[in-house]
Amino acid sequence: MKERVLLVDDEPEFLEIMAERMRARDMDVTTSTSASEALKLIATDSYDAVIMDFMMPGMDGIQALKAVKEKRPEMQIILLTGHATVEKGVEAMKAGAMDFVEKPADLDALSEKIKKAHSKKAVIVQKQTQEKVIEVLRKFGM
Amino acid sequence: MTDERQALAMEGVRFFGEISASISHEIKNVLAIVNENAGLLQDLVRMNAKGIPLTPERLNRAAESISRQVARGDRIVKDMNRFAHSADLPREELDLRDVVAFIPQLTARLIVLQGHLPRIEVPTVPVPVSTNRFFLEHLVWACLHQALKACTADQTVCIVAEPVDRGARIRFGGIDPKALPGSEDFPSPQARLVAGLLGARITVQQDENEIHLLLP
Repeated sequence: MKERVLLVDDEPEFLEIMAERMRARDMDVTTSTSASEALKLIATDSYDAVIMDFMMPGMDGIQALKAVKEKRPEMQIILLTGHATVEKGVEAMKAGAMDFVEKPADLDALSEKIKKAHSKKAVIVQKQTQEKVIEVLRKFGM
Repeated sequence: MTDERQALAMEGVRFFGEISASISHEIKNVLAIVNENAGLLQDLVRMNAKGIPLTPERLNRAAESISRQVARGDRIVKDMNRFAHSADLPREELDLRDVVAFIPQLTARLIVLQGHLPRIEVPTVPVPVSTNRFFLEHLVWACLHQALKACTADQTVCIVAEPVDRGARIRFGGIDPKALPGSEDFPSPQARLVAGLLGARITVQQDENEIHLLLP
């Protein structure tokens, strides 16, 4: 099954080429140039991984990350940054990021992380479904 | 070293660091695109080895993208070099129009993170000032940064450089009157210190919805 990826960065040229390379690796890629547009996409569609630039106009990566996690806690987010410092990494992980990758990124390594995100999300969704089923059964006194 | 000199030196280093960090981020973005293009070319070669034909049009697009990013990187590095040399002389004769055009170009990435690039209005004749270039750039950025913070998303900051009696003035307009900073919030103690060094004055003109930077 194809991994569904949402790629968010305010550099259109970066988005275009990275998306093309990901599609060549058989991923289903949607792109967005702003965090606000990405939040709208996340509200209606489901993705296995969201790869998001740490610094974008309007909303920074941490704010966007928190907003995504609030709407879709199961969503796995990988933040891309120009400079990965320990402090930023800790801040991102505390806010719920799955990983933190420095630009320029190695796409093969990133693809591995996307596969992990896909598996991780599947486990979370399975657990959520199980809890819903248990809740329904409880309502029926079973 | 006096406390004031030490504070000025620290503020100078802080400003230099702020601009350098922004420039290095911009260079990283350029490198990221060049890196993706290199990866794409490798992908195409691998696909070609599996029998998928190479398309000249796609190769050409990758080459054009690399050329564009090299030109962008070159411009960023030139601006960085120009900025680094602005601390060379303690005082020099400047045309204020150059500084007013240069700072938004140098801080373009920081500006885009906050809003739109400003509109610049300058006279056709030079606006001469004799001052320290580095600290003048600091004050222009301090005022522009504040103006951007006080500008609504649908508005554009307008920077006007003009000669006035016994000096020159830069006006930063396009500010939302409700978001105009109070005199207790702006200029910051550090900006006041730098203004004092240059004999400059920063004022918030409540009646004109503008920030003024007055230079001797």
